[in-house]
Amino acid sequence: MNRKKILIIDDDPSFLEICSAILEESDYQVDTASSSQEGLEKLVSERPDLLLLDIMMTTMDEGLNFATSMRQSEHLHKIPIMIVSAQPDAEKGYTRSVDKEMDWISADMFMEKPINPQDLLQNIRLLIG
Amino acid sequence: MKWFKGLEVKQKIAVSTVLVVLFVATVSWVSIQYVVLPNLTNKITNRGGIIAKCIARRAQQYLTVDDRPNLLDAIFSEKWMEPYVVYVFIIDEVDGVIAHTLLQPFPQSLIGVNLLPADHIQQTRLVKTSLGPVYDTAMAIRQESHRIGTVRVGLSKVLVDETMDRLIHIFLAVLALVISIALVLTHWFSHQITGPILQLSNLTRDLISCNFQACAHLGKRVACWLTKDCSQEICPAYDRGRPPCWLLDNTPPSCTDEAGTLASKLEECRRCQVYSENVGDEIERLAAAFCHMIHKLDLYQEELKLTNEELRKLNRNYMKMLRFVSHELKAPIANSSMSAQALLQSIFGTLTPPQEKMVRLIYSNLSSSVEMVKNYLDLSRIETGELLFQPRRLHLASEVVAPTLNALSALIDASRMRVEDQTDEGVILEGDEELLRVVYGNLIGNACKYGREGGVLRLRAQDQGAIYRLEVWNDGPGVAEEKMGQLFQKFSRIQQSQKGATKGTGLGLFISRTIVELHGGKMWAEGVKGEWINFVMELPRSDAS
Repeated sequence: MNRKKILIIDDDPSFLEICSAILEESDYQVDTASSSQEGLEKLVSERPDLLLLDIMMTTMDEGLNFATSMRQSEHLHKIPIMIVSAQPDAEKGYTRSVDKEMDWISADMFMEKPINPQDLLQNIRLLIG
Repeated sequence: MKWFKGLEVKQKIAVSTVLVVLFVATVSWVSIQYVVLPNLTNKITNRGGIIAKCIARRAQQYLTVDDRPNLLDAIFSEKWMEPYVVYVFIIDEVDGVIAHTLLQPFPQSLIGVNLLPADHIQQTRLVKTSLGPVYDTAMAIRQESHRIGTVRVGLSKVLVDETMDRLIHIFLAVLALVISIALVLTHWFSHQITGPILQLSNLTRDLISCNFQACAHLGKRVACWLTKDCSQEICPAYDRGRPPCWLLDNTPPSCTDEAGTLASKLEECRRCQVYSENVGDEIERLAAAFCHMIHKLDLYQEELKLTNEELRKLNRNYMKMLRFVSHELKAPIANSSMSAQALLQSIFGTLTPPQEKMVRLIYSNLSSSVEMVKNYLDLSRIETGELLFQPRRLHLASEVVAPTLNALSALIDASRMRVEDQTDEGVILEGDEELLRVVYGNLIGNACKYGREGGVLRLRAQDQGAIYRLEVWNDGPGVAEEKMGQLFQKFSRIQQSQKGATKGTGLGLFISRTIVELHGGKMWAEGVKGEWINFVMELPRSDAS
């Protein structure tokens, strides 16, 4: 059976490791990237079925900018995006701006860290089956 | 007397002075009219008697020898000596005129107006004559006990009255002068008193409105030039208490001064604080001391401002550090929590009961830590003024209460509390969804932590006209009434967790109240210790709803 591919982009290696373990245990093929640059390369080469993206990496807007450019790309714009963030109520109300941007970047899901693994799996199933 | 109380001090002094002067003038007028003037008139009319007596004495000898020329000479000489005398005449025993001073034909009617009875020696009457009103005095001329004639002297009443009128005019002029001088002096005197008082009053008003620059126009207080020049810390003249200025009492300063500079520096000395507080009367000294006080308050306020700014800066830095630390802690705690939860959810295989117990304990502690970190992040935002408030029109039940209950379902289940959600569907607020969720999250979380296990948690929201009343009630042990206020203080931990869970930060209620106040509402707690506790919020009604 062809396993679904999930790419996780986050600058926190610990999160990448935990998330990968949980998803692999649930029979997903997981790839990780710790920067948006690396993520873009893997996105192009691996063509994942879902992208788990942390919006706040090295800079506040790194994740958002990444998502924006991805949505503008002819080849990548169809890949569903699940945004994960340690700060839902992010600095200076970033959450609200994220919410506002959600339509614009057409992110499909937003989850706040700490993420409940069962909820994560359920949401992934909703997005990619 | 109400109108008098309403007057200013200056006017009161002026009114009092005028009243006193008018009283004195009235008393003087009455005494002049009824005592002085009658006395003076008597004195003048008595003068007629004296003249008549004099003439009678001289006329006696001339009448005896019938010496008419000398008789005439006697009456004329007396008439000319006294300006008030209108006439003098002598009549014999049968009332025939022997001699008179009139330059016109003698009016016979004069004789009958003041006839002297036989047993009288002297008699004075005010009579009306063809020469005008006259004080007529009749004096008997006697030889031994036999009356040989009568001297009649007439004093002009018009002249006497003119004299009295002149006296009254002089009195009135003096009175007017005295009143004018009194008023001018009163005005000057009251100005001396009320000027500084008015200034003090204005300064006090400035002080109330925190205008500490109010005394600036009174001249900048200078440090003693002598002290400056001598490079001494204290002025040699003022080293003991508050003696008068050395320039005033000629106390030579202990340090030398260049010749000829004293006079030029005198003006500077006049602006000296010590000088101004030791010269002038009590009121001026009071005003100077008051200004000095304001000046000092200004300095203290400046110091206080600087200190406050410093403290604010320190607090801001402290809060930034707190945020940094909380922020850094959040990621590893969230990761650990996720791992523990994955283990509990048997994603990596089923745990043995002891393993599950341990992992559940780890997860519980990590969850508390997540809450703590969130609270510290909120606190740092509140303290640094960076808590973003973005209100919009929202449905309380569906957009705040239901999602919060959903998010906290695990905690509610663990506490086995029965939730009675009576939130009115029609409650539409102008509020910040995210922040209101924090408030409900804190209150529901507290109810689960500190309420009775298996008890009731009741959420209520009612439209009460001008406001919305929101309540989070539970039948837990609550707190004593006198400690209700302390619940909302920062880092206060009054309630004891019923389940022995990790201690809270003591920030949840402080943050909640801050958020409610940010919405223009108020929040408090009420309850009965041991029975129930209710957290009440009153939020202004949305105009748009």
